[in-house]
Amino acid sequence: MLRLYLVAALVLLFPLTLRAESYPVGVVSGISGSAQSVRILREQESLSPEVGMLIFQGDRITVTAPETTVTVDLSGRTEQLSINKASAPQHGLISVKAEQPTIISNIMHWLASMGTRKQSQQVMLVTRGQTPALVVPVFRPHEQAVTIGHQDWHVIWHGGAAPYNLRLIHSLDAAVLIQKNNLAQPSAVLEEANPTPGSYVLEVQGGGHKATQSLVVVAQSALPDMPKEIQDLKATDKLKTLLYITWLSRQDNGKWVFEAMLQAWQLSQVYPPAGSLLSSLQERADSE
Amino acid sequence: MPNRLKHLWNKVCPLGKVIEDTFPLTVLIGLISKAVNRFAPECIKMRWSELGKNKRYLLVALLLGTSSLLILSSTPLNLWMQERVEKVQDWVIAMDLGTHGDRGEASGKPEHLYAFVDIDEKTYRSWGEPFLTPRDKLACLIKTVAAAQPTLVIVDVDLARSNQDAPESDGELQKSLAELPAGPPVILVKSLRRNIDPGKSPTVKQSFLDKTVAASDRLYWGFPIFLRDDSHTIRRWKIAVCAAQDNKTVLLPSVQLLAYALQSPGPNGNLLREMTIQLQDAEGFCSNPDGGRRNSLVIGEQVFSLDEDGQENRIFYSMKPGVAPPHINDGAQARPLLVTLPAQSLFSGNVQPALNGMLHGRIVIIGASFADSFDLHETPLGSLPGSVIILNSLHSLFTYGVQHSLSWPVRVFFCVWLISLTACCFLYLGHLWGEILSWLFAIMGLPLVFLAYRQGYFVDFIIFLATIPMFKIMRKIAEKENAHHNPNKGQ
Repeated sequence: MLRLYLVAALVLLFPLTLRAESYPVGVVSGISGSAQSVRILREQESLSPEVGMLIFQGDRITVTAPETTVTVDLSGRTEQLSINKASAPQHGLISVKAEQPTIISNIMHWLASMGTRKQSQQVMLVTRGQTPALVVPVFRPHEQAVTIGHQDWHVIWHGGAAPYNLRLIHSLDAAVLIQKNNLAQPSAVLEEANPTPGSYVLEVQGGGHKATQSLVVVAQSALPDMPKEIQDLKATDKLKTLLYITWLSRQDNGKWVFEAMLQAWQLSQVYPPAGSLLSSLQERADSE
Repeated sequence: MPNRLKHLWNKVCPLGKVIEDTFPLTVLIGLISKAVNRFAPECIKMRWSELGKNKRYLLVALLLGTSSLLILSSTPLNLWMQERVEKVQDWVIAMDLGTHGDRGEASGKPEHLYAFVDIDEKTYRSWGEPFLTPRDKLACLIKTVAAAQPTLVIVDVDLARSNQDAPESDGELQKSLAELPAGPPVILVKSLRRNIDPGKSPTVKQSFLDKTVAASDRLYWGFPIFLRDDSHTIRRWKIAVCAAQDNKTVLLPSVQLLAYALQSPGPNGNLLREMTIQLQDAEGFCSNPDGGRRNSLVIGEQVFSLDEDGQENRIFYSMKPGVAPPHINDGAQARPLLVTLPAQSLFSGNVQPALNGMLHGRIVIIGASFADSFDLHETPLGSLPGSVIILNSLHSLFTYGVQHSLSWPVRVFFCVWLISLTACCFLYLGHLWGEILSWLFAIMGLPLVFLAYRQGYFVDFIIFLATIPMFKIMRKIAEKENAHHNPNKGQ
């Protein structure tokens, strides 16, 4: 038993290091300027690069013309390598240190990520795109319904640390509809998100934090109808809409608050009293 | 025990404190011990009184530990427990990622190597973001990959739908596949669609390549089927799926099963014939899963249960694009377990010599990771493209087989042994040091957990962890009882 334990511990502490086969560490993703002035030296061979060409460990990229830049996407890295005439002597030699993880290093990373998780709750803010972006808090204990629309979705959040990753996931089959990685700012625009009716999860990760918000996208027809009492009121259409929005925000245990906020913002552009309603809805959402 | 240390320990490990404060549980255990004392037969009471204090404590600890194990293994608590066990297994998988070493040579089994030709976001955009994967480009990719002489090519692009806008490119793919030069078998992926009749098996889509596949002896249809759990995470692959085809229900093989049959040596070169016969023989399973003649397939060394209700087919994820892959020593050199190539790179000139070296002898999958492919799925390692999940499940199958549970006697022995160890810690060292040492044992047991994992087994050490707070409570009760019977002791 002791021998078994020692073998296991040794395997974990001292992983095997072997002579590695040459395999691609990146790919040429762009060449701007004079392509003829760029060469890739690989084992005595001088190759002319093109976009999509594989780059191997030990390749040397040379650039002889000024204002010519080669960009290389390195495997597993988010940043690109840009090489021009001035930087080629220093950075032209491709040397990617792919550190082989060990169980101990994986556990250390996991513990480190646990340590950065703060107890404070992250607040996520979502809006459908207008200019300037409307910011409404929707990080609530229950899911929110949004009517289908063709606008961009602006997503803004607090907490965590860059780089952030954002995903819009279909709840039913967990298919990732939109994914944005390595965001430097705590905001993103989902261009023409336009998801079909269904349940979705909006997820933001960054600096060990993770926040999710359930959203249900529904067809316009699923929105509760304006109550007859409001319809029959002898009032202007704008006032009726304002009353309807107020009523809507209270329906289905607060499910339509987000939609009500969006409608209140739209109405406030032409009917200032709606701005007060929006403020009160925001205050209510903040306090919940 | 110094109060400062006790205070610090309670801060570091609040679980014990929480459970210690769980009043109803403590009362419940006290009531049970009183009930046993009152209602047990005389002979047992006599034997009980003859036992020493320590032996009594150990016996109760063992009985409680094993009975709690049995209770936790029974329904419906088992479901609750399984969720926790799954999470722990996910953790073990994530911690082992990229560290899987040179197992092939050591085990004497040939280790399969893998490659992922990735139609990534850049490739997709360079193609003009088409609705369907361009068939002409796909034909070029298949030809280029097959020319590098891999052992198997899997095309994880749905080929059931024909391209109405460019029928000529469908024809080009058809022609390319029909005229593929001698080389590895090619598995084409076909998806299933829901049956219009509710409750009926899904139906197989017709494809413009059906005739081409039927006429070829190296083209096969495979079905990418996985089990998705309540959290939408893919943790298991499926062996086969019942589907309606030509007005009857048939049992169709998953991509993984088909790849296993094609890659395993058998009487006719591989095990394809055995698989086909057994699948046909097991078709009764679809209409009557409980009473069918056959509910498992025996193909080569593996027994595949069609019921799939346990730990079978758990995917031991060990590859993720972007994480340095482990290297496998094939005797001559160390080769990475997984090579990921952007599909775009296969269109650059003079790439074939480099590909021949890289893809030779590998199982190559051509698939997509761009967002619009809707082929990104939740896994214990985060979001992964469907193609990478297929490769991981293949690696899991070839390396570890399908059964990942330790046998029942081994599990009971393991748990009883751990429970005894914990009980001894609490008995001889008091509840604080007993708890600290038990947690230390748990940490020291991790190498064994990972060792078992690399042999293809999951060890449910979460049950062992669950017993630690229980012993803490028992020790507290024992101390209180002692204080009650000997009120002057210690003064």
